[in-house]
Parts: sequence; structure tokens; C-alpha cells
Amino acid sequence: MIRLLSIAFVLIGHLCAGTTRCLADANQGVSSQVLSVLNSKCADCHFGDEASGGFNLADLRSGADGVEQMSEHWTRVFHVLVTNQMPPADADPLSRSERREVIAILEESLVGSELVKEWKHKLMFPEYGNYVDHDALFDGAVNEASWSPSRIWKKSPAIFDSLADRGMGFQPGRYGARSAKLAKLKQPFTIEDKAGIKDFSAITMADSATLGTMLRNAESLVDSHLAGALHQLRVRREGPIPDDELPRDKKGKPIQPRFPETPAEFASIVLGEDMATDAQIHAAIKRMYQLVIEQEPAVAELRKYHDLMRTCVAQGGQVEGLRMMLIAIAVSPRAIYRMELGRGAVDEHGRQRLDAGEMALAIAYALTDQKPDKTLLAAAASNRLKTNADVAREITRYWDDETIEKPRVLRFFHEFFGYDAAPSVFKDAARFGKDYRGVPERLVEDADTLVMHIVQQDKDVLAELLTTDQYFVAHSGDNDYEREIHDALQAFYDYYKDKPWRQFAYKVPDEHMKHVRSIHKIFTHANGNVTKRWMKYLEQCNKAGIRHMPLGGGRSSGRDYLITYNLDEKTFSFPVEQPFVLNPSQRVGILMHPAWLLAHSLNLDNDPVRRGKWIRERLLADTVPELPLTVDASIPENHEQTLRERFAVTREQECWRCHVKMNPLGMPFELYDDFGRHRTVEKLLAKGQTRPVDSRGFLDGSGSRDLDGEVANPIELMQRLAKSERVRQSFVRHAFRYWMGRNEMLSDSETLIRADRAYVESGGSFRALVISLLTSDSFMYRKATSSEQVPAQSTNAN
Amino acid sequence: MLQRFKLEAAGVGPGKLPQRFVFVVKSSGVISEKMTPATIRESSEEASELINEPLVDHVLPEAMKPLEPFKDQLAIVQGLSGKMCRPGHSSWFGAMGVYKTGGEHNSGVIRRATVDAEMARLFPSPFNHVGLALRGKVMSKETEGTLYPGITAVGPGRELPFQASPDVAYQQLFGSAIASDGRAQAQYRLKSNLLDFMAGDIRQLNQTLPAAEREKMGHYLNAFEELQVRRERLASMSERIRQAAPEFSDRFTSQKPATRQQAHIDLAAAALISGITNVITLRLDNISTTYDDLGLSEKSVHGIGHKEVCNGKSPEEARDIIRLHHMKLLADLAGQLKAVPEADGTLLDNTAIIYLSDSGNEHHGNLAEWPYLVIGGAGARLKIAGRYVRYPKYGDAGHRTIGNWWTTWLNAFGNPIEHYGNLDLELQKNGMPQQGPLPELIA
Repeated sequence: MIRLLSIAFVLIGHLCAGTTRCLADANQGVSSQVLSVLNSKCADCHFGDEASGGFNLADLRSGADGVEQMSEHWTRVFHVLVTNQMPPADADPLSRSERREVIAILEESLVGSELVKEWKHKLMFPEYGNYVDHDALFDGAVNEASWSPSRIWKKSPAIFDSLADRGMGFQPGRYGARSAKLAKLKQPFTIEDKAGIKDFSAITMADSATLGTMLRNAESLVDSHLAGALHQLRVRREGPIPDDELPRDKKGKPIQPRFPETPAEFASIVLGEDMATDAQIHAAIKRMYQLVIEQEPAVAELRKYHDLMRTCVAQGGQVEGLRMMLIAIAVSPRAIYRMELGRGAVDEHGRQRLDAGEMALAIAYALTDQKPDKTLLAAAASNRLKTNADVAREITRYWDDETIEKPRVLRFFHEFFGYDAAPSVFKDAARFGKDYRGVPERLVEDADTLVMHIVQQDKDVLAELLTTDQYFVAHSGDNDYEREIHDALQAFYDYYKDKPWRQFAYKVPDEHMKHVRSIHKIFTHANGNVTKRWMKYLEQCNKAGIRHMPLGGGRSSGRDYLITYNLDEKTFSFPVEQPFVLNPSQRVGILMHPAWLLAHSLNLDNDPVRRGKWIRERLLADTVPELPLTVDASIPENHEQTLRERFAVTREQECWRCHVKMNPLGMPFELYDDFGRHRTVEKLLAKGQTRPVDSRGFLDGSGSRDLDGEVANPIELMQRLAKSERVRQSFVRHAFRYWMGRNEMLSDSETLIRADRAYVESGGSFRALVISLLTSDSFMYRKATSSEQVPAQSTNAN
Repeated sequence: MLQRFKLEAAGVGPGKLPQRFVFVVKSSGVISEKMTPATIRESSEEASELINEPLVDHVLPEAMKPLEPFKDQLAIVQGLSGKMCRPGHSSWFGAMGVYKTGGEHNSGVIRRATVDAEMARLFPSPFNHVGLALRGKVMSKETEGTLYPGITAVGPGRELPFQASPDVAYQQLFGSAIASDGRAQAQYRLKSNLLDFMAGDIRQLNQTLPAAEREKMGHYLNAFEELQVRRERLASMSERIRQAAPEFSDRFTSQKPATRQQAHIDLAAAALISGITNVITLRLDNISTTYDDLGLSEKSVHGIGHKEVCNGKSPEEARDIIRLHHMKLLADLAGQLKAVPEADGTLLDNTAIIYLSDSGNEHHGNLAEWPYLVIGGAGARLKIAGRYVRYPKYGDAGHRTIGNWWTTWLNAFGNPIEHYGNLDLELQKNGMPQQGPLPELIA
């Protein structure tokens, strides 16, 4: 007791000094509780001559250190607690309430501390989302009404791409590519390309670099739009360009300049003989808003841009005045930021609902990369986005309307699973044994098809994603289309098999071309080389009695990538109807999909640490401390050992404290090599040596004693994870982050519980989950916050 | 002579010469043994006192041979520690901001302006700071457009952007002068109108935003204000810019890392010569860089840093190849600056090219030492040109830190700050002085 009180005295004394706020005014009982906790839970290791980790509670007691050092001690206590580094797993843990209270008091006491500021800043990043107390989010004890901070949110790179692809007034790009007239435009809304959820409103902002790109884009866009009218004006004033001043084509004919048609609202000003009228200027402003902001201008906006144009006209003439005004709109804050301020009346919780315009945009940007569709705009304009039921109606309509492209859905799964990173992992192609070009890209396509198939089935979506025994291989997901292609190729083979196709020159005789083109358009360009290549493969399939894979179209015809599924192109009979059961004894679900395994591998080997970390963080909503600063995290290159054996170095006490959270979850995936191929033996670095694969692992933290424990292989691991309530809730939390653009706050508890329930009660419908999130108060309500407030309010009690 | 006349005519006369700085920040550490002349290494292996001797009597290591012509303006400075920063793959802003921040992938909190931005404040120019980067953050694979490597900041919470695409950088730096024509004056006035309008409009909008979002919008407002100031200054020096701008060629669009680095060097040299900036930070590479055009195609800098064999070369041999390449780039930059007369000497006399790594002394720097190379006369404000300087090792009497080092630079060039950066509390605990500049280095 004497020791406890001594520490209490020192704590209060030191926190009164320097940059920290005085604790003397704080409730003595609460302060004592902090000290009581430290004394009872930390003193065994951190007191006396053998205090570990260079931290001794006695230092606090003696008070020998200076004020700055004392403050450092306390911030260190704060840091190890909030980052879950202490107490270690094998020590007596702090209870949830103990942890919460100690952290709250230290946070309050250390206001002004740079570490606390840094910690709060970190909590705004997606990778720190799991530090919000999971149990507190789902136990129903929080009663606060949900809301999001009143905010501006920089538009995403995808929103810009979508705008540019759709032409911004020019001919849209073909096949989803940028409009040809906008080739000079650069992406202004860059976002850091890192694993996990990327686009958070609090961490993306426009700066001088954004402005530089925006200005160049604006000038290019406006000049392109005005070029046609300006050419007409010149012709009107100076007559047609004389032929001898024009460039010539190959035949020597003069090439007349061609410009895309200038929008009528701009052309009428450029070509007008008189000063532009207010109506003409307003029409031009509205048109520019449609092109670059995709919204209607407010009255005040019409007025200010009108005034700007008048000023510029007075200085530079009508054309330059118009040009400057149009550029101003293109670089205006609304062209960069989504405004989600909440303009409705303040309710009893101090919140404001998004107004109709804000709501329509929020709904559209939640699922698509573009402006609201006409129906949604009409609903907003006619006061039919006022109630929760109105919002639910529009969200549901968007989701269910198959004609509305919803790229944000697949993008969520990219950001959640991360398998789309497979092409960016550099591999030593020689080890693959076949042509590695295009392999990771094709695997990602297959994984995408599987994910979207499961989303469309919409039943037990997460469990299916984790454990499905069905896969797509080289298949578009459209069985009718694949049947059509399959039958067309069969007809192609049947037609040519008795003809001298082996002797074909590059140009195939017209009679044959005419026939094969009548079979299907994929044969439109089937020249001699293509025909010989395809016929060789089709003949080989026919002789082997297997169904051929699809050829032609936009797909690569390479079949080398089949080996990543442990399939052999010489024996693989392509299932026209997919998905199909691949090999459940070898692999199930997305985490055993070669795309995921590749994306989570190293240049030369598997990456059990990152795989384990992925499961720990994404599925178990848990945290892993950052790599300790003083550790050289490399694994010895022992040629006689398996990777698992080489990882034995992480069993050292100071390593294992963190690695225990990752290795046992990542090691089961040693069942595959680093290209994702299933294996029974592991090749050692020593040439010619192999060792049987050991794919055992250990699950803890699933929230269920029935599920935790040893697992024999990754299949068993996934089957258990798929049954875990905590895993399901972790999935809900990640969906929340993606669609809200921020980490959870405790006040989001109701939203999360409701979304989780919607998912469960619908039989695992992802649709129900997303609709629940997008009709939640967290999505629809805003509250102004000060810069000191951060999204996360509490730390994980795990 | 003509150049000198022009510089003087532009108001850059003797006695008021601007000082220029190029911070060349590589990844994966600078290994001091490889940057130490063998004769010094052998004679001073056990030395526990400050070594400060002229380089002229020593032969540079093989990998530093390209710098031989600049030996009288070369400084090798070793032995300073940076343990108040984050060890590992990158110390992020700490490398030039002297504090601990960030994680493995996260660049962390920006506590203060980094030294390069502080220098830009002391020697303002139209482009106060130019950042050119081969790649973004230490592990990032981004190679195009505007990037944020997490090493440079102009103030708390305000990271400075870097441009990765040499062709875009070319346009940004020299485009306005090269493209000007008869309409330029009218256009200039109109654009001024536009920028003023935008700044006023955003200020108004800011009144309606919640406090937390005003700061965010403030960055955009600052961008307009800075642009306006820059334009006014650039307009007055378009002739000089035209003369200095390099000829545009395909090296500005190359995807090869070594070629791109050369393009960045050329852009940096021209930007300094034209006077459009006085401070440049080159993010020379990051650990995801693969130097395939140096014959190191099998492994990235990360792999080599982790002792992996690359194209049949041992990791040490691979590092030698990269080191030699870096020295050639530094020599090229120094050579371009030395070719420009200024006052009684050359532009290099008033320039400091500071070569360092954001991870200090190793691939995973433990930061017990943070080696530097400096090339250039640095305006004769420091007594380091042509010298080898090594401080006693960490913990020994007389040991000093990178806080002392950067304080020295700031003091020497006009910022009287008592001490720059955070202190090493371990040294402080042991009663080792670490405040203030390194007086023996200040002229």
C-alpha cells in the first residue's frame, strides 16, 4: 500500500508539470485506480532491480528523473496500453473496464503530448481501425445515436476516371477507356496505393499538387471545347484557311482542320456578335457544371461565376472572359470535394441530416463512380429523399438494377481481400516452369468472377467466400456466353478438321473465311496463323477427349496458368458450366485461391507472416503491433530447412510476442508454394532436397472456445473461421469502413449491430448488409466536430 | 562571363548570392565503411576522438571515384547518430526532421518543417521547394505523377509533394517561360484575376465549414495563394528560364530508373541555374526500385538490402554498382553547376549537395550512425569542403547527433535556432551534451 501511494503521489506531481495537464483536480479515486492497476498488473515485471524492458515503476516512485523524462515514462505507458503491447499474452490481462479507464485518464492527463496527438492521428487511418473496442461496438451497451462527422471528402481517382471515360462532353471512351479527346488529362485525385481500405475522407485532401494538375486539366478541357467555335470565328473573320497553309495527306490533298462540336451554350457566346446576355452566361455556367461537377449550380454560384466572367470580359474580351470563367468552375472546390456537411435541421442529438442533394450524391457515390441517375435526381428534386424509407427505396433500387454498373462492390472485395495485388508481386518467372506472362492477371480475373458470383448468389456470402469448394477457371461467369463460344469453336473445328488448314498461308481463302465468320464473330480475324494455332489445340483436345477452353475474344489464349490450380492443360476438360468443384481436398475459398496466395507471397517464397497478419486483422478484428523498431526482420537462409523451420527464429521471446498472433495463422498456407500451387512436399533451397509439408496451425481469438485450437491445414482453419461470429462482425466492420470512409466510433454501435443483424437474419445476404449500412444514421447524419476530435474514441480491449 | 553578367543584371550580385541546396535522399542506408578512404579507415580504426582531416592526402574508395574532380569540395561526415528517429526501412520525416515517427508503411505525424523546407524558407524562390522522386513511400511501387514519399514537410501536418514523372516536372518547372507568346501579358492578367477570385471564393466557403474541415480546405486555399506569388516571380525571369531549361528529349519519358534519375538530375541542375528554386530534394530511389538498367534486374533494393544475390552478384557487389551509379549522378550534377560562373567562382561554390539515406546507416538502420556526403562550397559558410570528419561513436565522449548536424546547417545559413529537432533521451540520461550546433564545422 505504501508503494502504491508513493507512485500515486509521483504520478500526480509529475503530470502537473511541463506540457501535461494537472491531475490534481481529477477525482482522486479514479487516479488511484490507475495506479492500482499499474501496481497490480505491471509491477511483477516492471519493478525492482530486474525490471524488464528498461522500464521500472520505481523510477516513477523515486522521482529522480526530470519532468521531461517523467512525461516520457507516462506516454510510454499510454503507448503500450493503447497498442495492446502490454500486458503480454502470457500475463494477467487488464479487464475491459480497467483498460478503458486507465487509457482515458492518461489521455486526459497527457493532453498536449506529441505521442497522444500522434496516436489520435493514427486512429484516422484504416489500418488502425481495429483499435476501436470490438466488444463495445457489438455488445449493445452504447446508446449514443450514430453519426458521421460533417465533412468534405476528396473525390476518388475512380470518380475522375469515370468522368473522363464518359467524355466530359466529348465522345465517351470505348471499352471503358478514357475518351480520346481527353488523353492529356492527368489523374488529380491520387490516393496511396497500399493494402486494405484506402479512401478515407479524413486523410485525403487537395493541395498545391492537386491544384497544379487540376489547372492543367481545366485549361486542356476548356480549350478543347472552345476550339471548334474559335475556328468558326476565325473563318468568319478571316475566311477559310488557304489550301497552301494546310497540312497535306499522303496523296497531297490538304487536310481540313476538324474540331469536335463546341457545346451550344459556349458557342453562342464565342460566336455572338453582341455582349453575352445574363441568360447566355447562366446557360454556359450550368453546362460547365454538368461537364465537370455533374450537379446543378446554386443561385449564388450562378451569380458569382457570372460576375467573374463580366470582370474578365472587360479585361480580355468575350472569349477570354468565358474561358477564365469555365476554368474557374473546373478547379472550384466542388469539382474536387464531395460536400457532406448535413444541411438539415439540428435534431435532439445535435445531428443534421444530409439534405436531398447531398443524400443523392452520397447514395450514387456509395455504389457507383458517377452522378446520381435520373430517377435518384428526380427523387431529390421532388422531396422524395426525406425519410429513411425514401433512402432505402433508392439504395435498394440501385442495388437491384442490373443495368446500373456498381464497380464499388467488387472494389470493396479487392480492398478487403487484397488478391488484386497479385500482378504487382515480382516473381522469378523461371521457377514457374511455364510462361508466367499474364498469369497473375488471369488469376485475378478468375477470383473476381468467383467473388461476384457469390455476391450474386447472396447466401452466406462471407462463409462461401472463405470455404466454397467451387471455382471459376478461364470463365466469364456467364454460362450462356461460354456455351456459345464453346459451340462456336466446336463448329470451327468440325468445319476445318478435314480441310488442309495446316497449309494455310496468312491469308485464309475467302470461302473458308466467309464460312467461319458466319459461325461467330470471334473468327472475324482468324487469319492463317490464328487458325493453325487454334486448330492444333482443338485437335489435341479432340484426340484426348476433353472439352476445349475458350479462345479468342478479349481473353488471352494462354493456358499455362492452369498449373496454379494444379490443373494440366493436357487433361483438363473445360467445364462450360461454372463454377465447378475443383478439388476440395486441396483448396477452398478465396484465401486458397492462387490469386490471394500470390498477392500475399514474397518474390521467392511464401509470406506466412503477412498471411497470418491478414487473418488476424481482417477476419479476427484484432491488432498486431508494428514491427519493433530495433529488429532486423529477416529469416536466415538455411538451405537444409523448410520455411517453417527457418521461422523458428521468431520463437525468441521478444519476437514471439507479436509473431504468435501471425505465424500460427499463416503457416497452414505452406500447403501451397509461392505461386499458389498445392504441394505435398516442400522443395528446400538445397538442390534436390524436399521435405513433407507441415500445414498445421493454431487458431485463437475466434471468440469461441469451440473454434479455437489446433488446425491440421488451411481448409480446416477456414471452415472454423467461417463459423465465427467475431469473423462475421469483423467483415461487417470492414464494410462499414469502406462505405463510410472512416473508422468506426463507439457511437456507430447501433449501425454495426443493425448491419450484422440484417446480414444474419437474411441468411448471409451481402445486399442486406450494405443496404443496412447505407440506410443507417451513420450514413445519413452529420455532426460538426472540432479538429481535436478524432473518429475513434476507445481502444480495443483484446 | 555572359552568364555572370546576366546573373548580376538580375540582381544576383556578389555579396548577396543565394545559397542552393540539393538533398539527395537514397533508400537502404549509406554504409560508412564504403565511403571512407582506406588510408583513413586503417589509421583511425580505434580512434575515439573527433577526426577532422583534409581529403586531399587520401584516395577515395573505388565507388566514389566519380567525385575525384570535386575532392576539394567534397565532405565525408560520419559518426553522428540519429537514435531519436525511427529505425528500420525509413525514418520518414525524422531523417530531416529529427524525431521519431511513422511505422513500417505509415509515414506518421508531421511535427515540424524538415531541414530542406527550412532552407527553402531562408532562401525563398518562385518554387520554394522542388521535390523530384523516382518513387513514393519507402516501399511504394508508384512511379508516376505527384507522390508523397513521407520525408519532407513545410510545417506541422503539411507534407510537400514530389513529382515522379520527369516530363510533367519539365512542364511544371519550365513550361510557362518556354510557351509564352504574344498573348502572354493579357493571359497573365486574366489568370491573376482567376486566382484572386478562387482564393476569395474558398475563403468564403471556409466560413461555412466545420472547424475540422477548414484545415483541409486551407491546403487548397494555400495552393492558390502560393501559385499567385510564384507566377509574379516567374514572370520576371522568363528569359533566364528559357536559357537554362534543358532540351526536351526521350529521357524525360523513360521508364528506366537510372535514365529517370539522370532526367531528375538534369531538371535539378536547370532549376538551380535558372534561379526558379534554391532548394531541391531528390528522392533518389526507394526499396522497391529495381535497377534493371544497371544489370540488377532480379532483385529490388529491398532484396539486395536483405542480402539476396542479384543477377549473380553478391549483395555487396550489387550495392557497389548502385553506389557507383549514385556517385556518377552526384558528379554529373556537381559538374553542371560548376560550369556556371557566379561571382568570382561557380554556382557550385554556393551550393551544397547533401547525400544521405532516410534509413541512416543500413538497410534497416539502427541509426547509431548517420553518414553524409556533401559536395559543393556551401557558400564557404561551413568548414567542411575537402574534409573527412568523423565523430566519436555513439555513447563515447564527444559523440554528437544529427540534431547537432542540422542545427549547424541552420545556424550557418541564417536560422539562429538553439537546437533543431528532438533530443536523444538516452544520451541525455547519461549526461551527454547534445544541444546546439557543431562549432568546429561553422566557418
